[in-house]
Amino acid sequence: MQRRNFFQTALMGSGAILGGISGLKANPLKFTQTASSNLKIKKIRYYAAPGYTKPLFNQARGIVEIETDGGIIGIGEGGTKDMVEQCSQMLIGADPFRIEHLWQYLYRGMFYPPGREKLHGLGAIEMALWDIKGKALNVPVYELMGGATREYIDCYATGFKNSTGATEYDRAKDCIAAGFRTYRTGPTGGSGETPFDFYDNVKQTIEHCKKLDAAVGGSGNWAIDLHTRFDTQDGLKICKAIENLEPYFIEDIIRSENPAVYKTIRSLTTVPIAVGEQFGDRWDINEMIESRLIDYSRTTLPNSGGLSELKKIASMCETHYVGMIPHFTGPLSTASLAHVLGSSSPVRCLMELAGGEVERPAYFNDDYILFNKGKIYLNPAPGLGVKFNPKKADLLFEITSNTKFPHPYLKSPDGAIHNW
Amino acid sequence: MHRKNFLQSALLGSGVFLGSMSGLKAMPDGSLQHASSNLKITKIRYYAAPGYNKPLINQSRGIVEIQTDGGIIGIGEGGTVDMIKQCAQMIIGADPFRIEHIWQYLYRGMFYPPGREKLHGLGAIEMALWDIKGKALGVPVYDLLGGATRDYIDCYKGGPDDMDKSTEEKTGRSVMEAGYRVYRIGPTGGSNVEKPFEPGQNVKATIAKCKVVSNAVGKGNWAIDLHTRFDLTDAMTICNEIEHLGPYFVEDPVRSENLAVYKTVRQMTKVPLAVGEQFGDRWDSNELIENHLIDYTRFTLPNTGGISEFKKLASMCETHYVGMIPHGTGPLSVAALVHVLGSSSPARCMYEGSGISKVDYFNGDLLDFRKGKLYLNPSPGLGVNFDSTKATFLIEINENTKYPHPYLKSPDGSIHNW
Repeated sequence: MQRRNFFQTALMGSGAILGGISGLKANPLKFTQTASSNLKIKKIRYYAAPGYTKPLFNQARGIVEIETDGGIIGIGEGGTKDMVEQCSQMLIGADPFRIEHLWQYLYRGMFYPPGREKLHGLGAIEMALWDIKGKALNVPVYELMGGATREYIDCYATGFKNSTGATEYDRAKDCIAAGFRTYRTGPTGGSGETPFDFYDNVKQTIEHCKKLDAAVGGSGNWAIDLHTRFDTQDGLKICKAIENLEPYFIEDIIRSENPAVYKTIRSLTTVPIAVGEQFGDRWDINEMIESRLIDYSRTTLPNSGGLSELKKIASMCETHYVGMIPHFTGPLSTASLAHVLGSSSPVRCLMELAGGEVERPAYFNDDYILFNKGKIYLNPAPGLGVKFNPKKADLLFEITSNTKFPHPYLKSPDGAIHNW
Repeated sequence: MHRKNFLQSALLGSGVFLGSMSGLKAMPDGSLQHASSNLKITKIRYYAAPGYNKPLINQSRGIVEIQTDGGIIGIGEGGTVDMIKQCAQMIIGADPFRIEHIWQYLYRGMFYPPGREKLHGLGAIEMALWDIKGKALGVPVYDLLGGATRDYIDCYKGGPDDMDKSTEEKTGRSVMEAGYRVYRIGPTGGSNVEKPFEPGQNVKATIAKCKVVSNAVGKGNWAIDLHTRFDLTDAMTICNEIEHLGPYFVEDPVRSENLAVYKTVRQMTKVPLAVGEQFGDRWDSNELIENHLIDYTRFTLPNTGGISEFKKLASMCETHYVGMIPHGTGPLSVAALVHVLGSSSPARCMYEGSGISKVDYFNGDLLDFRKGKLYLNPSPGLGVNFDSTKATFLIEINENTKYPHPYLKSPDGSIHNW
């Protein structure tokens, strides 16, 4: 059956299809809700990603499987066992189409706003809900987020493995020749055993930037992540020295806890600034965007709490002419980022590929990301477009019933989630 | 066929449906674009709304019909003939699923950013694109906007026609008994253009009116639209005198062109402020929201430029704990607002009941309105059927302009500024 025919017949059948919607019904969460799909969340399973042992929560890549009574299974990535378990035990029986509503329920339920760790798990679950909805409606997720705004997302490489170049400068040239928009380097002095000397590394990093700029020909073909490695004055020394070069961006000039310090930095240098890799929710970054303290947001998935949240951040970025260069996390999150950036309108969007290559974990299908010559193309397969083989991952737990704990939350008279 | 079964069987067939997608294809404007639906926009028609003759462009309610080669027709509301024509002549042959992309193309194309009038037409067209997508996918538009976040939208009302309006007390009580969340009044001195408006006298009369209404319906059950009718200090006198009477909101205490004046207003009164009825695009209100200079936005559809734009504004409102009380425009726009507010998360959302009028060119049940509340409509698309034989046909566009309008693309295919 041709897709085109499908849409044509869908119209004809739609009256009949919708005839089955009941409007309002009681659900196991004990709040009335407007029926969207007649699907219900039945089971939520969580798997460890084999071979991945990094203990970084904000890079976690456990796989969430949400199973519905219709047989459709959605997948998400991120979180930890405890975090995913708490969220899962609030969702059994819920309508998976009500993504924003469920997000609010999980975010405001339990009273205390999630920190970055729970938000990571919440983001993994929300990712799976988008996957379910896309599969159920037989469209890619980007279609549920406004439709494609670009053919592909340019990528930059953090290191470039596919090169035999003797020096980093040679490898950077190969990286640009291979089609990447930008080659990204780091500051000097990064090995743990050698004590970090500010003055020495400021000089060396500046020297390194000059050589790299000359090698790749400026033009935004390189960028540097200062990795929060310097203090304000040292960071600014580097920025001032490389202002006359052409880096695409300078990332994390200083630590990220105090965004207000960027008011000072902004008044002292004109380099393009990228910040947000370490951020969690929307309120970590909104003032930096709104006050135009940065040029690129590095907020990512699932760290922001999910696709909807990143989409909201995209609205703010577009409003304030701020670009989006999300930090890389796990492979499924990378696939999800393509759906969000590919349906959003900030002018400059870039995606990061560590080592300059797409990861190919055995538990996902080989073509889960459409990568060609330094660009990630939009994946038109339904949902997130990724197939998960649970036999190649390690099952951690399965949730089939909700918590008995009467967690605190309130509703508005109109049925919306309210603060406790 | 039950919807549940449809969704279940859709999964099984999905590989087949998507197999035919070509990925990239050439478009009429010479650009490559990512195939989303294999549908194409073939014709765009524009109709006048019979019986509606208000000359207010920001309240206009002409009906746009966008036809696709798949037979699906989407409808939108707003704009004028000139505005719709310019937009329509840029999107024949385009893939109607690429809503945001098309919006950017129309907004940035032609170089000069649309003013409020063109934006109104653009919003009508964008509304029709959402209708097409919802119909094609067999889901209500709110399901394409994140899914339902609430069961209904509370409404407020000025004074229903079929109620006892002999006194303010009776009108207010009637409105509350009918299930509305709030009874809204206006300032005195607005009914007779022949009678000069006397600020000092109307300040006193308006304060007196607020006292009567608050006593009748109770604190939090009434609101007032000052309608930009007063100067700053007169408005502040009213606000400070009625603060203890508990208005749900006080709308437009001053004119709307100079947003920075709200920094002053905010320091002078604690009443909840509602602003934005007169606004157009996102940049009219973002600083008011971000600096929390207001408590409720009043911008609406299609005036913001469409549903996506409204949704972006909802993100900002939620971020800054600002509520949304859109101004009433045409009946189809009200239906569209229910989809947007019903899938968004600002804590306080309310709709102005004045737009809930039935017109014979739309189906009688286009809005599920019961006891002062607008319930979400689960029919596909916007859930509204348009009978074009009952409207007045104005234009049909079936080819793009030959004018080489200025716009650029980024290497990745996205729309760029000229």
